[in-house]
Amino acid sequence: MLSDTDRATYEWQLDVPGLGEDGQLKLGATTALVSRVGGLGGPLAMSLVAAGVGRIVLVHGGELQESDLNRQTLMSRDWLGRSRVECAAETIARFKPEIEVVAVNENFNDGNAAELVEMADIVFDCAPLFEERFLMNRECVKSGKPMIDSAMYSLQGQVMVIVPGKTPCLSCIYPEVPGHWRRRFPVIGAVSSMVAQVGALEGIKLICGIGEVSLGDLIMIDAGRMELEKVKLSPRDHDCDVCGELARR
Amino acid sequence: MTIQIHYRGQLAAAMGVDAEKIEIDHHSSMSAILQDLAKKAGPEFSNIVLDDEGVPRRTLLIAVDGEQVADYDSCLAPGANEITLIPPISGG
Repeated sequence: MLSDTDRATYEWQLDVPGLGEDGQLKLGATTALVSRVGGLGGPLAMSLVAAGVGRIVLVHGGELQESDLNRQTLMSRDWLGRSRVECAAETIARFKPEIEVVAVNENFNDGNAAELVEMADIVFDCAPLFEERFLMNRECVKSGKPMIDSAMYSLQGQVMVIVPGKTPCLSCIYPEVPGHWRRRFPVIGAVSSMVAQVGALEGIKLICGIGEVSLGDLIMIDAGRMELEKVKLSPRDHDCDVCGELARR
Repeated sequence: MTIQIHYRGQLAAAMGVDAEKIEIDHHSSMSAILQDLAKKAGPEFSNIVLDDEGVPRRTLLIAVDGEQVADYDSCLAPGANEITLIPPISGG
């Protein structure tokens, strides 16, 4: 049952058709993991917290730099040099003191991937490197947990909802690490925030069971033309190194 | 036949436009279309869509009329209107 504080906080949100008290309780019972918390993951995490997830795990290594400040809206100039993830956790805790925030000052790697995914009910992948994305994908498929993969480049973005056993996984559509991808990419904060909101919403819909989650689609956002379209993905790849075994069942 | 082609992500910069109409032979396979485009656009484009043997990379996602295609050796379906070339992106 919702507390009086929750009922007051989410009063307007509870009016969203299909969400109601049941949906709000599902959000409150959810632990969401967001990696990383930069231009895309930061606003995504904040929207999940505002919507009412009960616990959030933030994963991001490294310290805040000046060139982060055009897009990393959980940060502040006077925090330059501090741990990014601790800054993000502090901003979120100030916004909503009652939420449990777990801040992990590391990026996803082979050594921590299984343990991190184990902490969550749902994973939001916002990492700038494919190596990290593939690790999250692999661990989510292994543990049967949903993953919302959100990415951007310049004025474009894309979001893919991965539900192991139901949808293609990241390795089905990208069977290997793309050699051309570079760590530095063109970004306006408004675009990464826009893509973040699409990713957050797909996750909220999936958790609450509302709306129509884009399963088996790649959602493409073109901020240059201000268009959103979907590509219907091929069925799961039975030969996929990561989820092929599930596809053959 | 004339077909609309959309270049996503890094391919738009490599081609210099994000969309254009091109003329293709209706017997052309997707591989042949990509090889022709790579010749026109140059090495940056070619490096994203083709491997060193000139074969389409497995990391390139291609959609025809909003649906992913996996077979690059078959001809385009008659009546196809648009191709979208979607390279992997990972900005976060």
